[in-house]
Amino acid sequence: MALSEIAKLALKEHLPDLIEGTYARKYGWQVDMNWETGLCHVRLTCPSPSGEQGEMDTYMLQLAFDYYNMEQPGVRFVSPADRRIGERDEFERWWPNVEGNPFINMQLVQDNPAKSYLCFQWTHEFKETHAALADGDAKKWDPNKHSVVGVVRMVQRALNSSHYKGYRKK
Amino acid sequence: MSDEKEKKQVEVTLIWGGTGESKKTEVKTSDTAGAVFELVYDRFKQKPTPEDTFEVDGKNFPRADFARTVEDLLKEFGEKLTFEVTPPGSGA
Repeated sequence: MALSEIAKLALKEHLPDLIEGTYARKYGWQVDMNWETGLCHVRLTCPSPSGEQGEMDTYMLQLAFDYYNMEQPGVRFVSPADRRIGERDEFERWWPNVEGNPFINMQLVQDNPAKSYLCFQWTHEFKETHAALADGDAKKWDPNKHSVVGVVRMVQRALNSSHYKGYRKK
Repeated sequence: MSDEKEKKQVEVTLIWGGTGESKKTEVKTSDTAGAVFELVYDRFKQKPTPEDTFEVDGKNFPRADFARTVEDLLKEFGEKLTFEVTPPGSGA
């Protein structure tokens, strides 16, 4: 889906922080924005809980900006190798196990991997699947207090938490 | 002596977690953590909410510790302090 003018303007303001801001430098994010498809891919890493010391797990977050930044970006994990959503027997390899963390839930749809999503207030999929929050609710998406950088940071926060148990499937 | 301590200033980084924006500022070593977190709201033009979470140098910082001074935090975290406020986004 082509980006709206509003999305382009917002992304031009927010992408520098996503690419080389405080969090990007701290966590080593690698960002690839495709202006033609409107999709952004962010390579995330975190310490592997089961591997040797220093071993890192790698994830690829795919962000869509169909309604950005008036609304949240779309967010899901895809294959780090070829950025596919994947089929039912494989897609869980590319999603993390962070069950019990207080930041985000993972809603995996086995029969339709494309419908899997990250469940917290700052994703478009959350907005699509939950009742609207009341105006004034502190969790409600607000373009003046949230951006795609905060969204990616929230995912990284879950990956770096003690709740991270590695890839959902090997 | 206490006046000298009052006047001593250090540079810290303020971060608004909703957008990842950061700004550097100088604070007194006698300032409390609570006062520095108030600076985050002020500099990024945000309003506090009861569900906001706080971190110093990437580690969770409970409200119960807001009375601790910057001088005290320097001893624990080192010289380059970051104060981060993140608005609530969970509740999934």
